[in-house]
Amino acid sequence: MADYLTQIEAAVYDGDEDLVVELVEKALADGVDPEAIIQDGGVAALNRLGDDFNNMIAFLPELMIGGECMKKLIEMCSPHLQGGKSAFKGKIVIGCAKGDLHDIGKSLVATQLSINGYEVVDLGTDVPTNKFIDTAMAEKADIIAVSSLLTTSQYYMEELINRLSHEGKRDLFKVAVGGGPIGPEYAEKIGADGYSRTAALAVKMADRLLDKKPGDPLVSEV
Amino acid sequence: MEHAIVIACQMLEHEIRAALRDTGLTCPVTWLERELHNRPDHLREVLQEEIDKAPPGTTVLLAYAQCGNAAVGLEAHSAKLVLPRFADCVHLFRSERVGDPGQVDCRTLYLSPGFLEERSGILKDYDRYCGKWGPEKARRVCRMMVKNYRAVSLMDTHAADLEAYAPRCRDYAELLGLSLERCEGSYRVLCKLFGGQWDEEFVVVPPGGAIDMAEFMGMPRAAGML
Repeated sequence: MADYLTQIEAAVYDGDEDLVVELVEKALADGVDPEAIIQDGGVAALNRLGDDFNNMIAFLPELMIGGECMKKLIEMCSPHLQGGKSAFKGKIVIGCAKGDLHDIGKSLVATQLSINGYEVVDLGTDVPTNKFIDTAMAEKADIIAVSSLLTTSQYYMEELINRLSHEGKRDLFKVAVGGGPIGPEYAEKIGADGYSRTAALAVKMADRLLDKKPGDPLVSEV
Repeated sequence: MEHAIVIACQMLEHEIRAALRDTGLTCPVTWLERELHNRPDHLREVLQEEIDKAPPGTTVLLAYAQCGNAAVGLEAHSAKLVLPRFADCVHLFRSERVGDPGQVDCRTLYLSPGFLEERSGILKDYDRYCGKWGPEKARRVCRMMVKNYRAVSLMDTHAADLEAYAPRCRDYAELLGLSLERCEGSYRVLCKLFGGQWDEEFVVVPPGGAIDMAEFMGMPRAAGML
C-alpha cells in the first residue's frame, strides 16, 4: 500500500496524469483506502509542490498540472469514499475581482481549499462586488476570498469591504484577499480579515479565519 | 535637466532610447533586467537600491509605472523621484492624451517590441516545458496560462521597426491559440518624463518622501470585459 501511495505522490508531483490514472485504478482494485490515496498521495504531492513553489524550484505551470492530476484523482476516489466523511470545515465564496481575468492563482487556492475540507463556491473571473455579496448571503458563506493580479482591480477589494460595512453585513463574513501585487500591508489597510501569499498557505489562513473574532488583527500567512 | 539620472526598465529600451533622443536629455541611465516585473517585491528592492545610490540633490526619473505595486513604498531619501502615474507600461503606452488612462482590453495580451526580444516570456517558458513534458503538453500548459485571453496584439510604439518583431509575435499567437492583432502605442509619456513636463500624469516625490499607494487611487479602475 505504501508503495502505491509513494508512486501516486510522485506521479501527481510530476504532473503525469496517465500514470496517476493507472496507479489509482490499480490501488483501488487492490483495496487501498481511497482516503489515503487522496491524503498521502495527492495532498502530499500538492504540499510538496507548494513548498517547491515557495523555494522557486517549481512554478505556476507545475502547480496547475499537479492540480489537474489531483482533480482526476479525487474524481476516481470519490465514489469509493465511505459516507460521513464529507462534513466541511466551512464554506468559501471565491473569485477574481472585477476586471481581472487572471484566475490561475485563484483556482489553485480553490483546489487547495477543496481538498482540505472546505466547500468552495467559485465565481470565476471578473466578479462584480454585488455578486460576491449576494452569493455569500445566499450560500451562507463563512469566508469571501478575492484575488487580484491587476492593480487596477485591487480597489474592488476595498469596495467590497466598505459595501459590507455600509450594508451592515461586515460581521457575517470574513474577507480574505490575495494576488500578485497584494501584500499584508494592503490587506490590513483596507480592513481585510485574512491574507495569504500562496495557495498552500491559504488553507492555514482559512483555518485561522474561522476562529477570528471581529476586531482581531489581520490573519496573515506569508 | 541638471543632476538627473534615469532608472530604466530594459523591457522599454526602444521607447526610452527614442524619448531620450527626442528630448535631448543626456544623463546617466541605469538599465534594470527586463523580467524583474514578474516579482514586484523584488523589483521594489532593486529599485530602492538604485535610488539609494543617487547623490543628494539628484532627480531620479523612474521609467516605470505602478508595476504590480513595485513602485509603492519607494523612498526618495535625499533625492527627488518622478514616476509616470500609470498602472503599467501597457497603460502608459496606450494613453493618448493627458487624463487618458490608456485603452486596455483585459482579454488582450499586448506585446511591444521589448516583450518580443529574444525568446523571452511564454516562448522561453514553452522551451522549458518542452524539456519537462514534451511539446504537446507544453503547448497545452501555455494555453492554460492564457485561457481567458482573446488576442495577442502587436503594439506599435513607433520606437522600433515593428516588422522585425512580427514573426515572433505570430509565433506567440499560434502557440497560445489566440488571434493576432495590431494596435497603436506611443512613448509620449516618456518624453514628458525626460522633458520635465511633470503634470498630473506623474507622481513627484520630494526628498524625504515616499511613493504612497494613494497616488494611484485616483486612476480609473478596471472596467471588466470590453
